[in-house]
Amino acid sequence: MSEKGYLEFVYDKFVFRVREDYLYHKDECWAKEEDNGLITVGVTDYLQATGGMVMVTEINEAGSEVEEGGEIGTLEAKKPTKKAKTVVGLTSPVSGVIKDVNDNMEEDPVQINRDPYGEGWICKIEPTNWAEEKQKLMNAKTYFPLMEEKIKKVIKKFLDEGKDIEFY
Amino acid sequence: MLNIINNSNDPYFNLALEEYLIKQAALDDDKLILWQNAPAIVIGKHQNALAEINYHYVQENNIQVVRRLTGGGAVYHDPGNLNFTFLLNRDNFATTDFSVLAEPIIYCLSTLGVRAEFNGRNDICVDYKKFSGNAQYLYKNTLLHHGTILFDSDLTVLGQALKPKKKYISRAVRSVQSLVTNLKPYLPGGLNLPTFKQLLAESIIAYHNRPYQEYQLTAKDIQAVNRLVADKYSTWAWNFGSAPAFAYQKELTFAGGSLTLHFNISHGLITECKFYGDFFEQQTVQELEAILTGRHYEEAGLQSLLEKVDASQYIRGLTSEQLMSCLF
Repeated sequence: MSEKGYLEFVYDKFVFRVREDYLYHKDECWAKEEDNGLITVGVTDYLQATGGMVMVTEINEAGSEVEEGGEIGTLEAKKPTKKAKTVVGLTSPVSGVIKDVNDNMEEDPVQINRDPYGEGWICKIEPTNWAEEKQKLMNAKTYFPLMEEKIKKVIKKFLDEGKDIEFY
Repeated sequence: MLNIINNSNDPYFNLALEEYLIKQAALDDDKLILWQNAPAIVIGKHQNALAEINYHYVQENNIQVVRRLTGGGAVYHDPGNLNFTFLLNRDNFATTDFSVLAEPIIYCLSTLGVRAEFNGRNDICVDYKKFSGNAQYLYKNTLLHHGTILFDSDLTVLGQALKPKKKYISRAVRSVQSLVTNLKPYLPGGLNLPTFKQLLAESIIAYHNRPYQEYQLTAKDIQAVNRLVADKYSTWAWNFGSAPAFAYQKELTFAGGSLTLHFNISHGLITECKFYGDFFEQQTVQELEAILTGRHYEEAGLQSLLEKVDASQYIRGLTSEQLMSCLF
């Protein structure tokens, strides 16, 4: 049974969720417009699941400017059964100025894995071109099939190579 | 696949080239770079350089320290080490499995009669000893996977340079020490590094089995890379400053007593400075703490700052030289 408010793609024991009321950027990040006009930004379930367990994050400081499609920070994640670590660049879905960074991430970066659409938010941005950029973002219904297609491709690759399927 | 010809041995240039190719260059094809560095320690994206190196040894031996875009721990490069970089479009190459990416290197060695294995961390080993460390960076739809190959490196210098003398407390990624080896003793006699480099390029091209051509960097490419060197890869801010927040503590005994110095360092700045211990305050020690707070945690800058400060005015019997000597 899927959780209310989410679209879900299920494969075996893995569940990939898309929150219905958020907007999505093709580089696997989401945007949510807050009542005060700030845009909360985070990463998608797809990004955290394919990246692995987050060990550390580094997000640009409050006050710094970001561009739509630019990098707002990085995380370093570990594959479930491996010690190998990978750095993943985090993309900003909007242009603007970073007003707030999720400080809890320093102590508990795994919350990106646990709750990518909630507690695991990355930063809040004061947008400079929201009306226009908003139009370019996808709603959940448009993003979901793209995510589904990408996951199927990764799964096919695992199967082709005879490897165990690994998501976080 | 483009084989990017890069004969520079400048660590700043070589790491900047990777960023240029992944973020700026308008070259659609997948890419391979085989490259070498002058003596350097290359640290992972989220490491604290100071926690990974023997700072004084590295300085005395002119070993450069440079931060890379990928994860993992610190490695030593010198002209006896060969590096490989793959830049792959994830639409064609969906896996980020390190062992799959290591296959062409293992395949190349098998053609030379060497049985190499992937060890499940992120290393390629021969005889259970690591000769290749691998790391990755995912940027949008591109995977950057690179690795070292110890061919004929100076392992004594490697051991010394990567042996930190100081302890720091933080969430920064720590390196894992491994038993390492050079490949040369395992290879057919007389095989030198340039020949091995050529054979490795051929194996990688054969493995990926796609149209292939060499690419010479243009003047425009080089100009853009040099800009990244100047703005980022040669800077203290990137190589040392951009470490995750960390704490440093040091005890010192001096003529006037003993003290413990504590720093919190974030984004390369001393955000908090405290002196504790058994000493006489001439003026309130908070003033000395205030002088150091907000400064870059960087040797040359603090040195010139302390030259203008008389530490004994705050803590009786403490010279500025003694204070300086315990800051790093």
